Amino acid sequence: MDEVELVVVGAGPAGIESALIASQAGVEVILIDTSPKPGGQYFKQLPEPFKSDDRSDHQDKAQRLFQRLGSSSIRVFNDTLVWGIFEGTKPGSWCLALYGPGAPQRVNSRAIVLATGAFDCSIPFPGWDLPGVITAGAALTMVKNQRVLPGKRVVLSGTGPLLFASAALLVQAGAEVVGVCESSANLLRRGLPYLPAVWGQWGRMREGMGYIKTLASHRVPYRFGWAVTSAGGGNRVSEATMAKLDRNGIPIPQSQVTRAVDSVVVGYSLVPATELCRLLDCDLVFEPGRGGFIPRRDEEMETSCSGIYAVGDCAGIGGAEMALIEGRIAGTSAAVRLGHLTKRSAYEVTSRERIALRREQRFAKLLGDLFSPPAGLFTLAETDTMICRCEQVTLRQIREAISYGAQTVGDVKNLVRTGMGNCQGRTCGSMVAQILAAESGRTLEDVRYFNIRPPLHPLPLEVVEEHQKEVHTP
Amino acid sequence: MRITKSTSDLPALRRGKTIEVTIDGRKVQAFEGELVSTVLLAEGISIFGRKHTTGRPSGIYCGMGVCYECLVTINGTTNIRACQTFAVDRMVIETAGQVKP
Amino acid sequence: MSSKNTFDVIVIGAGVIGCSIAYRLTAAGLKTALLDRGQVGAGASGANFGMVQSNDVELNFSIPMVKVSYSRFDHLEEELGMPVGFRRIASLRLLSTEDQWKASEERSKILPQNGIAYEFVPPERIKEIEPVIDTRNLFGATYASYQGQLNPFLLMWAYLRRAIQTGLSLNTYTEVTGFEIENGQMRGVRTNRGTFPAGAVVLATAAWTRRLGKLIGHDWNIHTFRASAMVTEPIYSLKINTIISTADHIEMEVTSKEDSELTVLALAQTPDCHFLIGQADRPGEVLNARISQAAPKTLAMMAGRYFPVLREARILRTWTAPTTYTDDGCPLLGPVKDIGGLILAASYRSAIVHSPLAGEIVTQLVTTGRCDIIDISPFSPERKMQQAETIYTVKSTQNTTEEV
Repeated sequence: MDEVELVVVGAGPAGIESALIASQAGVEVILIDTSPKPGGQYFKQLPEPFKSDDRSDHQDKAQRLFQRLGSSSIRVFNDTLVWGIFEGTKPGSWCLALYGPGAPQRVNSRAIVLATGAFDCSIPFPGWDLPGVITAGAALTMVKNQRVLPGKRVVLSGTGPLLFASAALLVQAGAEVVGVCESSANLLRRGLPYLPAVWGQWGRMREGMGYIKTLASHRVPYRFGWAVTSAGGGNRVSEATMAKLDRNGIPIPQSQVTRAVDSVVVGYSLVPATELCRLLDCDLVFEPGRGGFIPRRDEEMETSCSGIYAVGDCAGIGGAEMALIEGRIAGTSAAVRLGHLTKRSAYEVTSRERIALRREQRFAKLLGDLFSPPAGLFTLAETDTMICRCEQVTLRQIREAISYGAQTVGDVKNLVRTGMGNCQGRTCGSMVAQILAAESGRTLEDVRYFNIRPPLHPLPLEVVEEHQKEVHTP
Repeated sequence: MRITKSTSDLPALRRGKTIEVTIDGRKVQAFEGELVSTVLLAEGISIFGRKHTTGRPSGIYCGMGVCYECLVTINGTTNIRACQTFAVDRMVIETAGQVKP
Repeated sequence: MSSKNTFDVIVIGAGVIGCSIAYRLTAAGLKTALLDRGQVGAGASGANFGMVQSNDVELNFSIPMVKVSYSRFDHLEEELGMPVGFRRIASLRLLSTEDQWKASEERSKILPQNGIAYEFVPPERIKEIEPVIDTRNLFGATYASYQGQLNPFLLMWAYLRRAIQTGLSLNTYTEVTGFEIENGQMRGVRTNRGTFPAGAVVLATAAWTRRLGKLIGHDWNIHTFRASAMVTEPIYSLKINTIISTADHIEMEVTSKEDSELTVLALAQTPDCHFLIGQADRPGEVLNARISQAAPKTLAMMAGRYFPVLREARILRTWTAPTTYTDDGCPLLGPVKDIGGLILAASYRSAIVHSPLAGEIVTQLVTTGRCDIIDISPFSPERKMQQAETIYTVKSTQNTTEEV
C-alpha cells in the first residue's frame, strides 16, 4: 500500500497551487483528478489530439501553472477517481481508495487537500429535463473544449458573468442566440454600494466588456430581470418561454414570449462539490452567498476532520483567484503540519495571502449579492415537473413526503427516493432543499443536505472488490 | 454541428485524426479527441437514452459527469456517461434508438 | 431555546421502535415528543434490509413475543393507511458443512413446533426454490418459507405520519445531554435545544442506550458493533426470489488482528431490482457511521464469489451503522426499577418485526404501569444475563438470519 504525506484531490487552480507550494517545502505530494489533464474547469485543457494556437492571457497563465507542475516532483494521476476516504490503519492517517489507470488502488496519507470545485445549480421548470436543455458549464465545455454547438437556435437563462460569457461564445461559434435572460434587474443601482470591491478587478471588467461588445454587435436581445420559465417539446426541446420577473422573481404572465429553439442554456449559480466533505462527515456550515452548505474551516483551511483541508470553490464559491490563494494557504498549512515548514516561515507566506484573500472575498460577496437567482425562480415547477431525474421523482411526490412530516432533505429522500440514484443527489439536492424549505416553512439551513457515502461515483463490484488476501476463513 | 469558425475567443483548432465509430448500427466519422457526446451531437442525436421507469428521454445536461443523464451503451456495456468517454476508432455506441427501454 | 410545553412522555430514538411507540402513545391521547440526535432512521433502522423476521428469534424467551408481533403485520398497512412495501418472502441460509447444519438443528425443531416454518432443505430442493444458486459445494440450507420484507423508511414514516396527525412533536437533530430526576422520579430530558419536561421517558436508543444510561448511573449490558452493507444499481439480468444468506464467512483485518471485519453474505433484491448486499460486522463500541476500508472489499468478495454475475453490477452506496446485541439475545424492555417513569425498549435483535408490539407494550406500561399483552419479565433491564449458546463468539445481529 502506497504511503504519502499529502494527497491533493482535484487539479484545478486551488489543487495545483496547494500541491506546488507543499511540494516546494519538501512535502511528498500526490495530485489526483478525474479529467485527462490538469486544469479543472477554469483552466480546462483541450483534449490531447486537438491542437490550437491559443495566445490568450488566460491560456498563458494556465501554461505557466502546468510548467511549474511538470517540473515539480509531484506525482500526478489523471483520469483517476478518489472513490472513498476511510480512516487509515494508523491513527492520524487516512486511507484513500483510487480508481484509475496506473493509480494504486489504495493510498495512505497523513493529510489531504480537497479541491474538487463546483458544478451548476439546477432550477426546475416545466421541460427542464428535456434533451436540449443544458447547463452553462456544459455549453462552455461543448463550445470551447469540444468545438461542437449544442444547437442552432439557442436561448440562455441565468445570472452573472458566466451567463454572458456563454452567450458571447455561442454567438462567436455561429449559433443563433435568440435571447439572453439575465434574472437580475437594476444591476447598476444595486452595484453602486459595492464600487470599492470592484477596485483592482480591472482585468475581469475588461473580460466582461469584451463579451458585452460581442453580444451588442450581433444585436443579441439581452433582457435584465427576465428568465426562461418553461421549455416545451416532444422528445427534445423545440420551444422556450421567457417572461419578465416581478421584484420577487415571480414571472409576470402577460409578459410571456415563446420562441422556437433547439437549445436552452441555463446558468444560475454554482454548487460547491462538497461530496468528499460529506462522505467524511465534516461539519458543514450554511452560507447562502457562497453556494449553501460548505465545510467549516479554520484559518489554515482545515476542516473539522483532522488533517483534511478544503480549498477553492468546493469550500465556498469564490472564483479562480480566491482558489489560487486558498490553495497556497492550505499547502503551506499542510507543510507545517507535516513538519516541513516552521509556523513562523509559514506565517510570512500566509499573511500576504490573507490580505489578497480578503479582497477576493469582498468581490465574491459583490457577485453573490448581485447575481443570486431570485427566490421566485424556485416556484416555476409544476406538480408533474421532474425534480429528481435519476429516480424520476416529481414535485407532487415531494409534496406528499412533506405532508407526512418530512423535516429534512434526508427525510424526503428516504420517503420518495430523491437522491438515491446514480448522481446521489448532486443535481436534485439544492432543489429538494428549496422546495422543502419553502413549502414547510423551514429554513434552508434547517432542511440540511444529503449525506454522501462511498463510492463517490457508481463503481462495478469488481472494482470495489480489488484483490486482497483474507486473514483467515474459519 | 461541429464549429469550424475561429474567433478571438475560439482560436483556430486542428482536430485529431479521423476515426470511425458505429452509432445505432450506422457507421459515422469522428475525430480523435471528441467525446462520445460530441459525436452524437454532431450527428444531430439529442436523445441518448430513456429512463427505465418512465421511458422519458434523456440526453446531455451538465457536461461534467455529475448528472448521469447522458448514459449510453458502449461496446455492450450499459450506462456509460457519454460526456466522460472519448470516442475511439471502432467504438460501438448504442443510444435509446436501439436499446430497449 | 428554553423550555418547551410539558409533555406526558418523551420518546428518545426515532428508529422503528421509537416511531412505533410514538404512534401508539399519541393514539392513546398522550402528549408526546419524539427526539433524535440525527434524522429519522439515522441508526440501524435505516441501515438494514427491511426484513420482518421470525426465523432468527431467540429461542428461550422471545418466541411468544415474536409470534404476536408477526401477526400484527397482517393488517399493519391497513391500520397505518400507508403502503410500506410489505411482502411475504422466504429466507434461505446456505450451509456448506454438516457442522453448520448441526448448529441450527435445535432451531429446526423448536420453531415449527411454535408455528414458524423452518426446515432443512437439501441441494436439489435449494435449486427448486432458487435456481440461480450454484449448489455444487453446498451441504444444504435452512429454509424459512414464510418471512417478510418491507421498506424500513416507509414503516417509520407510516408510524410518524399517524403520530404527527394526532399531535406528535417530532424533534430531529436534538441531542440528549442529560436527564432531570427528582426523588427517584423522571422529570424531563435536557437537550441541545432546551429542556423537555415530562414524567415519563422511553429510551428506544439501541446503540446509544448504554451511553445515555451512564449519564444517570446505569450501565446496561448492551454490546455494540457496526454493521455494514451496500446497494447496487438495478440489475435486471439476475432475479432472486428469496433472501439469501450464508453460514460461511470471511474475516479481514481493519487496523489490527483485534479489529477485524467479519462478513457473511446476505443478499436481497428490492422490488425495483436493486441488490442489497450485506453484512460486514465490526466489533467495538464506536458510534460513528464511517465504513471501514475493509468492508466494501469483503462485501464485494462474498457477493462476487456466490453470484459472479454481480461482479459487473455497479455499487451505488455503502453504509455502516452501530447496532447492538445482548448476551442472552433478548431486548431490554420494561421499566427501570429505581427511576420512576423511565422505560427501556432497546437492543432488539430484529427490531422491525417487534416494532408494532413494542408500541403497544410501552404504551400500556406508560398508561397503566403493567403489561398484559405478553410476559415481559424475561426482558427486564435489570436482569442477569445468561450467555446464550452462539455459533460465533462475537455477536448475533438484526440483519441476517444468523442464529443462536
